Amino acid sequence: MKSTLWIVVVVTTFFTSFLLGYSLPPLIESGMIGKKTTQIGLKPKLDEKMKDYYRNLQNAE
Amino acid sequence: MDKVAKRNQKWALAILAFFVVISVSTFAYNEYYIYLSVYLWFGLIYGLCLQYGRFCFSSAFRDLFAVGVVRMAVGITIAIALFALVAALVTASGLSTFHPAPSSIHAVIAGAIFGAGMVFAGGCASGSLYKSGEGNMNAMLVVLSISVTQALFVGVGGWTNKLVPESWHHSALEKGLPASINVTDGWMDQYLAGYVWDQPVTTFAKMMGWVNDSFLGAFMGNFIIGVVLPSALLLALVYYIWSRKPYIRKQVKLGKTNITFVDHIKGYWSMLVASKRTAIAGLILGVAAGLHMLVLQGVRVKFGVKNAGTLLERMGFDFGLSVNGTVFDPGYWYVTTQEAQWVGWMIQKLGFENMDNIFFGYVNGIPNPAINPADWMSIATIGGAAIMALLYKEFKFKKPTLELATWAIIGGILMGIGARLALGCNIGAFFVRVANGDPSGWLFGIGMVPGAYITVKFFNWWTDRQMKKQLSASGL
Repeated sequence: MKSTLWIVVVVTTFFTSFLLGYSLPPLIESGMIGKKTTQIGLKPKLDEKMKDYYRNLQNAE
Repeated sequence: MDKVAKRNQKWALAILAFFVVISVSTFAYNEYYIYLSVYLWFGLIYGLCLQYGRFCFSSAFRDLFAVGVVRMAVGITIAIALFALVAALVTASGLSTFHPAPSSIHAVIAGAIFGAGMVFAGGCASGSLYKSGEGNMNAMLVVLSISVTQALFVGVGGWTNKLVPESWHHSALEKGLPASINVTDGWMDQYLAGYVWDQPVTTFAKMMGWVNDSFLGAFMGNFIIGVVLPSALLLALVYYIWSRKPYIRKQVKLGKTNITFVDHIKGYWSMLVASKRTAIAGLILGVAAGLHMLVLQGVRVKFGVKNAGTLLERMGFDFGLSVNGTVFDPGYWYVTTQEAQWVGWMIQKLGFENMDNIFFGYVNGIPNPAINPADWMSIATIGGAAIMALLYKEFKFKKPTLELATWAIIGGILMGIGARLALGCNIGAFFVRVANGDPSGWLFGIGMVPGAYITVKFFNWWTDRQMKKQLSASGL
């Protein structure tokens, strides 16, 4: 039973971690997470138009 | 290992494999399906945790009021506090998908109806879902009853229009809803547009004059003032009424004669850590519920959408979208709305028009259950509970008796009505709202207490009466 439970835990953790990894870059690129990191050299590969689009997404509600 | 255990493990892995195949194959077919997979995998975690911790709000109230057992009530409070901590972090980062609900007396009344219903049914909305995963057919009946009641209740018109106060009617008309929404016909529509939408929407942070998604607002307002302090007081009350005397008796047995304040603090703490299993489930539930909001917000930004309706439209599914192009897509844990939707979808397919009301036609839509994001969450919750029940040899198809089935249907009806009046159930209207600093969550919880208490007392009377009847029939 224990090994099967571990399989369930590992598979579930793998998929949720993948989803977390998948969802974080857009938040970082749009500046919703880690604004400071972009100031010390990391530049998002987004033009101004796209950045505005993401910012408006955050503001519009 | 015995045969049953081996068979159970195979079934558990088969269910898990099913969700893996669904996630991977749909993602390979169209990247947008990952949005639905977010709901699926967090739903699976909810199901695993609910079954593992045997999390049920109905049990919490029943155990407390009927036999004075505090384990579940304490476990739920711990889960709320942990979820609130993660939610505060997400809110302070500006990434929360949570929307506070209108706060007024309607939440208390709805909570009372819901509380009565869940004790009648023997399980709350989320409890019935995980028990369905254990093979409990009574719980399946409860889920069916909640679903059908909601789907019918949101469209009820006719003579119920006469019960609508004039002020609601006028206020609903002033909202200027699209012509496809027949707002003047239907009690629920006029209740929503004419009353609920006019009620204040706030959070504890806003009430204190702080910005909701600031560090101060999220942690001090919503978390400390909105959750930690009331929860600690609530638990102190639970300790004082139910746990204090047993703890003193235990200490006296151990030879202690003078019970000091420090001893009571120790007793309070021992009450909190009494059930490891419930506490672990509460911990994971809390963290998962917070992460769910974060991940979904990320995927929304990634695809440039605010609601799954846009994605469904891009994928070519335009049936069942609301007049605003939206579908039910809460962005966090929810239980009852999607249950109403699948019945609403069936009713529509049977040829009955039900998109002219606010619930389906203006807000939530009735997408095909196969591509409904929140339905993926509910199916996965049932699946997760089934996996855990199989692994712990707790899975069994149990047929209800006629009496239990009757209570299940009555309870489901009351929960369905309560959930629609409050715009959510014990999860959507209580657990999630309380954890996110929304005072309407506490109002719903305050309502649940008398509703559950009266029903527990009713059941005590009913059981006594049945036993006396049986004894007199047997001549004893």
